[in-house]
Amino acid sequence: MIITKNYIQSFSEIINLQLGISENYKQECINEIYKIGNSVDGYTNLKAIRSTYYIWEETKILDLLFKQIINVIDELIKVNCEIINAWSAIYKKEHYADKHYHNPCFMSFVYYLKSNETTPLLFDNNFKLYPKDDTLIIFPSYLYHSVPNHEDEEDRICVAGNLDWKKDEDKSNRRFIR
Amino acid sequence: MEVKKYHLSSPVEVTTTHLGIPLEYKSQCIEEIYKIGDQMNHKSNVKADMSEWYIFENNDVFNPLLDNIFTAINLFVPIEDKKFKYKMSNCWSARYKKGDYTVPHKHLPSHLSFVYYLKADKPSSPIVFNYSNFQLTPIDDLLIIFPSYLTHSVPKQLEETERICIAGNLSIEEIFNK
Repeated sequence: MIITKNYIQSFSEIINLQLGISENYKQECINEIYKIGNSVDGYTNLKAIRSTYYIWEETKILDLLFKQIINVIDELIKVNCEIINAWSAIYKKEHYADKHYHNPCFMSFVYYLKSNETTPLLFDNNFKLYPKDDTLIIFPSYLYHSVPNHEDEEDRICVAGNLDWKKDEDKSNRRFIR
Repeated sequence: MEVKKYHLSSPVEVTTTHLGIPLEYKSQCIEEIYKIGDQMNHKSNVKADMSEWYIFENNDVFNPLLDNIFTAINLFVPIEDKKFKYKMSNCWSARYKKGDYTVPHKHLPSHLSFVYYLKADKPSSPIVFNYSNFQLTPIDDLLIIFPSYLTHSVPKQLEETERICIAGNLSIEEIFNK
């Protein structure tokens, strides 16, 4: 059997905005993320201080932030989405994230509570975004991305997560059974 | 709120193979597709005779073919993360006659999509990946597998030739180990 793999170019949209979260609430979230610290065991793509994939089970402080994020995404993407997982990350000097993607999710996001535009979020073809405080970046989950070595003395603090379409239970159960 | 949108070009894989389905069985499937006819009244993106979305629900004839397609996809486009597996979430038939076409569309939120050509006389309209400057001309027994986020279409079938296919989507579900 002959298999042909064709590599073509696809155009994907990456959205970047300032979310407008108040300084007080941002600081409250940052304090909570420091409290959580590293709560995940085993290998992840992130070589940073990280919470579990379900940070809302560890704290309720971030709920308001997630609500704000999902509202903005609903408005911009025009799709009824829900956050299926989310985690915090604190990048100290020399921390980084290996190249990875978030399939099989639909969309992914990262919100920077603290970032001084020194360490980018890096995509394919060397496309880079340098986030600052309050930046929200939304991108399709199939896009490979990474974070190079954080060279700054100041911590880089973010929450990231994945979204999926709200499932239609009836349709999702109709499938070819093997 | 200032929103910046970036359009990133990134590589994506489109896989093709020939399944080697026996002629006799292909003829049986084609006969069944003739019997099914047009159940959608050209109301979907496919402006051709089309079955409803879950062809496997009321018809066993296609099961060996769908088994074959499912096996090929698992073999040639395997999921890296062994925590997940494919499920074929929907599947339909399409028969293009002269003047029939499909408008540009994509299959989100599915993960992978496929089309298998039971019959594609020459000349038959190609499948066009609209934003990728890429198209494939169908021939009998050709299976095309592509990520569901790729926008694709079929231009008008210009001749009275047969172009009969089965298409479908695969989503990913988590394997829960007991």
